[in-house]
Amino acid sequence: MSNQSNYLALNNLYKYFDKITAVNNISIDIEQGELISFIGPSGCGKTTLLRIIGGFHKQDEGTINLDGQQIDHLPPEERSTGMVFQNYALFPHMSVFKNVEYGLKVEKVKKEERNRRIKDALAQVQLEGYEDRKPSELSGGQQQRVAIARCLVLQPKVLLLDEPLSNLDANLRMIMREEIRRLKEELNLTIIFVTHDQEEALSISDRVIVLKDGKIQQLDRPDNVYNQPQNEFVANFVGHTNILEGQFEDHDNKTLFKTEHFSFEVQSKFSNSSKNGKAVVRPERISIMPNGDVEGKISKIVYNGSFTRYFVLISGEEIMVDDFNAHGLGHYKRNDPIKLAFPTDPHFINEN
Amino acid sequence: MSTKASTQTKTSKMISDFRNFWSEPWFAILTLVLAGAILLFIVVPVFAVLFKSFGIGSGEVTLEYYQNFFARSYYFESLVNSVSAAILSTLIVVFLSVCISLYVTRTTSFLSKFYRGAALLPLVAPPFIFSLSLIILFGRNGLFTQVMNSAFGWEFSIYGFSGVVIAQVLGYFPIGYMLVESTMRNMNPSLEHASSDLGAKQGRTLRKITLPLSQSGIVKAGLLVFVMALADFSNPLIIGGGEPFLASEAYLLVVGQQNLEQAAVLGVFLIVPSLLVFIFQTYFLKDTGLETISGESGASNVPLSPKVKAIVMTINTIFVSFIVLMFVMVVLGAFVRIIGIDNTFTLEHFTNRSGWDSLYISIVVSFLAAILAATIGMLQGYLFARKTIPGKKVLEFLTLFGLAVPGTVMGIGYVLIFNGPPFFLTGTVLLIVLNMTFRKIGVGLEASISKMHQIDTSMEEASSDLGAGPYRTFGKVVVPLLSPAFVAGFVYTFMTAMVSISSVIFLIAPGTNLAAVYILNLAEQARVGMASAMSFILILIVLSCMGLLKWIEKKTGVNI
Repeated sequence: MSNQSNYLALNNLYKYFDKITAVNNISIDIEQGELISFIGPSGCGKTTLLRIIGGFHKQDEGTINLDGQQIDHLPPEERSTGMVFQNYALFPHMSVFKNVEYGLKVEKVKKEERNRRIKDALAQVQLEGYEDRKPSELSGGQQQRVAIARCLVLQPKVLLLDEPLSNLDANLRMIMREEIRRLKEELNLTIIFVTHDQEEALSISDRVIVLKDGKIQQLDRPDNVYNQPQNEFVANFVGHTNILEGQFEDHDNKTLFKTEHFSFEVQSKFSNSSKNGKAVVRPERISIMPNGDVEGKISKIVYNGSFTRYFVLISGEEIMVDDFNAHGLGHYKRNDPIKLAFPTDPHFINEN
Repeated sequence: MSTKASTQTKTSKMISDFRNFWSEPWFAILTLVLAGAILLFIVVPVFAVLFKSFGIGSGEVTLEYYQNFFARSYYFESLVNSVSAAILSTLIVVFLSVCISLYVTRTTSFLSKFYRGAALLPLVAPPFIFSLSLIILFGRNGLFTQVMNSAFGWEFSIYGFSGVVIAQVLGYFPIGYMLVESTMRNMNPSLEHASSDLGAKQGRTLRKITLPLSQSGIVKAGLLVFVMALADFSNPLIIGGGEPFLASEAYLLVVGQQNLEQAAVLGVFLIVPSLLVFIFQTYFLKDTGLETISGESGASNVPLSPKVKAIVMTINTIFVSFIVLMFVMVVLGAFVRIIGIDNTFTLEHFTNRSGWDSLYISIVVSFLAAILAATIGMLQGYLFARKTIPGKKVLEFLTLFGLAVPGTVMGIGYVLIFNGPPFFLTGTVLLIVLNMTFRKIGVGLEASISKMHQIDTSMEEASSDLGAGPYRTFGKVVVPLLSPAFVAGFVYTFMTAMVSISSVIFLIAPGTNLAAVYILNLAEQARVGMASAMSFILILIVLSCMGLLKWIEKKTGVNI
């Protein structure tokens, strides 16, 4: 299967609301069969961008191409995009079958083919046998599946999901994530997934776009967004992190990264570019070790089940350290003196 | 065994309910007084009409008057006329409501504000004002009639069935429109978005999604307009051109022939449909909850497609212009000597002594009725929302039923009951006040109950926890919190009392003439100038009431 790399292309999109620029010069090329997430805090423009792609908002500038065809001037009903709404927007007066049939009837698909395709779509979302139910007789997860089937049955070129899992409980959310992934793989679906839950985005996506104030902050694979955030905003928004400001200093053959209160050794290649830097050190990358270089004292302990988060004071500066609870409960207490080993290859951000 | 046990718990539940009821004796006494008043001023009059229709009270029980009704085609025709006019008006109102609601809820232009404003304009007018302006325009000497006559020799008359229907459509439009608009506005917008996302054009979305989901609002609107149009009294009298209609015919039977029995039969035919609709609405037309499966995050409604927009705009503009034209006619009529014949400016229509007298009485009577209705509504709302009252459901039903009873029936009922001992009140201002009050207390009750449901009981619990007894709690905590409901009940009752006619027309006596009745008489005699002038003043009064209400809302920051 040869997948086009600019199957869905957003080119220099802008959208203004009164004085706010909700979408600010956004250009993205999305590959066929790719699942890409828009994440960001509320008001960052992720839903607006999604609605522009679906045709529910008109962009003020820029173009959208889908599968080689320009679509930005078309109304929603003429775009081959399928939207799953946050509240599912199932037609409450129609049965599951009628809901899924709706778009096919619009397309004037013949009765036999309609029935076959509805059967397939419901099978894909594992809802066989629910044809005659009304939406109000379904659970949240089932409503979600109907909403997806209603789109899938029309074989859309791109599936737009607007915070689809936010109304589900935690366990169901996990299951539906897997389901969406499975459908994507099976049907080679191109999916845009809007969420404010960064963990969800990391786990489900091929690529993640972090948005803030209508601008792209970073567009990359989930592991890169997590490990190599472009800026402080991304670092803080995606996961938890320590951000340490300091200078690089060369001693003998070693390079030290020196903050106000302590220093640790880093691989020399990082010091070449500039004298100052900000190090993004994720809490799980710092280890508590008897032979660690940095001494500190535990000021606070937060037990999290699989790991314990220690807040460690190092001469006045507080650092988060995660310790994996491989043997049950962590073995440190408040005010225990400990030694920390910092990673020698932290990610440095250059912000101007 | 089990049934015995359940009867036992039922009995002990009833006993404990009664104990609770009497634990605050003043509230209990108040409840009993209220219940008595509701029975006397709402229920008994209706039954009096029913009994009278069978001749009970004036001789032996007989079906004679019902036989008359069906035998004398004239009476039966009034039923046919009333029902068919009401159905026609309802259909037209619903259709136009949908058109205007579509535009208003799905565009944000200046025009949508204009449509909405003009559509609600009839609210400020006495219900018969459109008959008046229709006469000015299309009456025998009407402006339009004259033009048509001289230009094409085309003679026509607005008097009759069609005139009544047009006047009803205009007069009852806002009530239907408000209901339709609110359902169409509150519909989850993503449903329409989903429909267009699935490829549907606007026409299909309207037919398959929007309208089916607005069904409950449309049905409600239709039923309400139907009941009001059926009970319409003043339009047939002014513009009916001698065609019989139920309410006006009943009135003429009472006033002209003193034939109360026959009038009561017509009253029964008025009340049966109203009662059915009322029961249907109360028990069967519960909100289906279809429109709001779950909320939506700030998405707006789908804009109208150019084609739909063009159709809807044409219809709206014609209709709304017509409404405005009607008002312009009344204002013109008030300020020129004889409109269409002698168009010189004059203020002579405003110098009518008995007109001002009737206006004064109307204001006093309406004010008293409004105070009484708002107070009762507030007390009753509190008692009903918070206290265990045996038979509460029945009392609530009866109170709201007062709103549904056609004014004509209520009027005849009052004549039957209060024209002799033990309550000889005929001809007194008090009876008019009581009539206006008890026809409208349902509004205050509903406002208070819904307000009470918004107020957390913890506030009253806090008050009693701090040592206040039930009466102090009521006075110091509940009354201030309920004051918006009081104001709403007051203003609504005052505005409707100022223009109410169908019931009080039976109760006025020389010296207690009311403005609305006075205007009706003028309009019947086609004394257009004075009728217009008086209507103009009534409109101003109602408008200032609304202004006052808005001002209070703004001042206090409380939505009334």
